[in-house]
Amino acid sequence: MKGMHEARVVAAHARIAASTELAYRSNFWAYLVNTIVTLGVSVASIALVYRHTDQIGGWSASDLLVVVGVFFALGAFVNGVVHSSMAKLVADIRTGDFDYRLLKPVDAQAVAVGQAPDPWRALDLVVGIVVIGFGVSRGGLEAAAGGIPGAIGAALAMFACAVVIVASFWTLLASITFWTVQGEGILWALDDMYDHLRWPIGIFPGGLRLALSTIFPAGLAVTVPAEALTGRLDAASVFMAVSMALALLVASRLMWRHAVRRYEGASA
Amino acid sequence: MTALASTVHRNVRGSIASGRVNLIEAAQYRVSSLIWAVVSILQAVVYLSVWSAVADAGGGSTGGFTPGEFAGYFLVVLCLRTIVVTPTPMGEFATNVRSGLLAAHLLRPVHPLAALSGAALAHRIQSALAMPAIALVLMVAFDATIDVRGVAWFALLLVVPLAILTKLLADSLLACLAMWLTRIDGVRGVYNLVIILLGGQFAPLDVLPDTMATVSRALPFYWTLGYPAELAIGRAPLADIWIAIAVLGAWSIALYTLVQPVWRAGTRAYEAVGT
Repeated sequence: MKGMHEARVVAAHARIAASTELAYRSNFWAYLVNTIVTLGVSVASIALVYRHTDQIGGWSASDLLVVVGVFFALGAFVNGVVHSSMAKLVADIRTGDFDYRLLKPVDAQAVAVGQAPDPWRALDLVVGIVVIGFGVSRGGLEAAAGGIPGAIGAALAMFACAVVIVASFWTLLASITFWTVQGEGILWALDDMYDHLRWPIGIFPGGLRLALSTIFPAGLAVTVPAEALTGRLDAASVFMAVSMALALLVASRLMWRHAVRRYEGASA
Repeated sequence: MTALASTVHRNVRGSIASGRVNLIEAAQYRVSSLIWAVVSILQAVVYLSVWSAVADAGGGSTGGFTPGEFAGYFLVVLCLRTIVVTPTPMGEFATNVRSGLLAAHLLRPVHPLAALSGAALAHRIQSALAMPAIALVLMVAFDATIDVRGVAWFALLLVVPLAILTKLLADSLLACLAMWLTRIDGVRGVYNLVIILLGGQFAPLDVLPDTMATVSRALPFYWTLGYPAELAIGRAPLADIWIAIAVLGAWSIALYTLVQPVWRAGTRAYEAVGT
């Protein structure tokens, strides 16, 4: 019952925030252009790289399109829900408005993660699905274990893990704001980092692969759903994704509780 | 002319003062600076890994670059990007427009964009301090090849300040759009991608198709980052330094001239909504 209450409150916050965002209609066109250019740059990057080779680390150009599609789809959640909500959280901490959040009879962390969605970013989700479909149609899905339904089921499960990973990781780092007060820089840096993860981590050297799976696990989050859709997903990847999702969920919860105890309020 | 010189002088002094304040402030937020440094490293390492893998797959070199030369190029880009490219004044300016804080800043004798540019530069200086040491470690780790020419590195002292100025003026011009659009996240996204692809952050000019290389040379971004990086590793001819200076100088004058009327029109359109 408590979970339902939290969900209803988060949904109410999300509705209000979405209405506010929808008022900035010119932003839709800016996002549309942004999404088209981002997609164009991503495809151009792949085309530029594959001018010189047929495959990198066993990934073909079609497989890379699937990775780009997952990058867009997950990016819709990262930029459209997590970043905007965390931006509000860090602003509230700095101004002291977070005091009022703590006074409300609802889990403050649950609200913090989903309080300010940006509905225009749903464009990225649509584009992501289209690009995944295009990449998959050029080969890959049939090769997956369990056929097409198995691959889609595995990809959705891995995408759910990816969502938990990025939401928890962003919360974990945004919680630093309780100590530093200034947190916008951290969020922009995380956004910038995410922007460079249009490549499967399997093509990187061992150290970087490990770093993008653990220290900055968004690399893992983008890769595992794409692995499921291109027949590359193995038990080790599933174990890594599920354990990272659970570990980060617990870590972000512990960090949040510790941080809120540390919070002194800055209002008035 | 005297009025222009006086305005420039006042704004330069104002941005230096703002930069000093922000340098002190940034020193208090070391975690943010550390995370920014990690971001810069990640970008360089991702692209150098991709291109090294391509060079390996292509028989040892791509576009005349060996994996070691790619490593050298991207590590120099890493150092230059920190001082020339990010952070920009755009994000904070848009926030000030949206919150109404710009109204207070308009009352100050220093141009708000000059003050924010000074602040951005201060953050860049702080991040850049650690870069040579980080780049040195990465050079060893990735076995980077750099053909060090003393004259070329001296020439960088001429190009880099001009590159910083050009980039800040381009940032300022786009930041002005916030006075009409209020939110410029989309515009910033497009701008960053164009810079990454055409400015040399994604790949050196030699591996790009001819059409893209031509467009890159016509825009200022290659000259702000790609050319200085190629010069530093010994890939670009020193003689092109005059082209770089001419292109960056021309773009600086054009952008400065363009910012003036756009700013005036923007401040007329600005409604100081506030919160």
